Amino acid sequence: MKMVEQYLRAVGSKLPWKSRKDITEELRSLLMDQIEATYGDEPTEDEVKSAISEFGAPGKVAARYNTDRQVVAPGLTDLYFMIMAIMAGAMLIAFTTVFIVEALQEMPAGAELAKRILMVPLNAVGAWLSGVGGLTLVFIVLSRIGRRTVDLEENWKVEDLKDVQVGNKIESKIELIISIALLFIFIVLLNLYPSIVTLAENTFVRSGLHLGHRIVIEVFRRYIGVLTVFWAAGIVLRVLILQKGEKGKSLLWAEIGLSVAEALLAGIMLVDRNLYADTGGWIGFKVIFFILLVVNLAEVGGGLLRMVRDRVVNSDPVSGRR
Amino acid sequence: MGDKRLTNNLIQELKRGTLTLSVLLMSGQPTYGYSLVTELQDAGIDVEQNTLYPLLRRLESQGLLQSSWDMGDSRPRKYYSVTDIGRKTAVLLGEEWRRINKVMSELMSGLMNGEERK
Repeated sequence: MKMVEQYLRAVGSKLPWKSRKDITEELRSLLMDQIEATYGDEPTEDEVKSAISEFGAPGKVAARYNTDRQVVAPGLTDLYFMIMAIMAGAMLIAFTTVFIVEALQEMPAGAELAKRILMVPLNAVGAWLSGVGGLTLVFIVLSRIGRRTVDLEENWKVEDLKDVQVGNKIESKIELIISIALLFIFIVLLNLYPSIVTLAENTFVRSGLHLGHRIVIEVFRRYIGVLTVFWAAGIVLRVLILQKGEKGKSLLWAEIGLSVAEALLAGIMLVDRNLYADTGGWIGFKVIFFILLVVNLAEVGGGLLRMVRDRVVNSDPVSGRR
Repeated sequence: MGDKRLTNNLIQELKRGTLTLSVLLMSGQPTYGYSLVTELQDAGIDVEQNTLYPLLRRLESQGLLQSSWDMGDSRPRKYYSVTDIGRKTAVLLGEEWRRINKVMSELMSGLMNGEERK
């Protein structure tokens, strides 16, 4: 019966890959049982049509077998769309910045200028789509991990609540969103246009101030990969904080760990002699790396202090137990 | 009289809750999907095929039913039967059902008496 096969094909195309063959086989058997029971061994085409129609729309039939199959967990969907929007804005800002920097340096005109202006949104969309791919992978992993964490909806015990972390409520969502956008912008700018560092140095010199040293771009490129990894980790960390709405103990530890790593990198960059040319003083990127080192160390100190404070605040005042 | 559509939806929800127990009770002997639909309907349980078939697979994945394909008939058929865990679960669900039934009956008789007094 061609119509039955066509119907099963339509249902099958909407079924999960893993169990598609088995479900389709079962549906064939069930549908044929129904046809035979209702219309006998030799049903007419109209009778088959009627039986199929009664069985239900292919999408609806398949949907009943597709419960709990979401790419992104419902609790993460809003956050997923928000990060997508942040990325779109960040990519547009990053590529506009690259365009302005290149335009100021190379002064393109006429058709070349028009072409470069046109390329800004096209490049931004291209980079955004790649970013959305990566973002989706991260959210798929988060959704799967989320399933294994405490489910307070079913089969839960009061004892499970000990795994729920009560941390410090995040002060400002906007601050986190802006820092995520900035990290995206830094990643795109440094990876696409590493010589922006030289441009910044030239701008500094043009302002009439003395530059103590210059960055050797070839050496600096080696650090870009590590910086990208750290910044990507920073984005993931901030996304997790946004999702939870607070900084629990594990997120606080992760933040401290990342700050230690970033401080270490800033320290290494500070003392790497190959990274600098014309070393005649501290004024230049060394100051920025030093500030990064100090800021990250301060964050490590602040994080550890918060840990100690939380332990004191959360300890049982009578028994002293935590 | 309440909203008819809303009432129908609530009745569907009520029935859905009892379907698992009905299926476990009626799967003592190996039975295939269509046969189970008709048996349930004959017993007075109005069930849609498209609700029952995915439920059978779900109960199987939960270990309450087991299945095997029978290739001997005119066409291959997947037979389901209740497992030991399914049987024990059915007993527990049955006890709960009786308890709920008792409580609900008392609540309903109170409601009926109230209606009569009006």
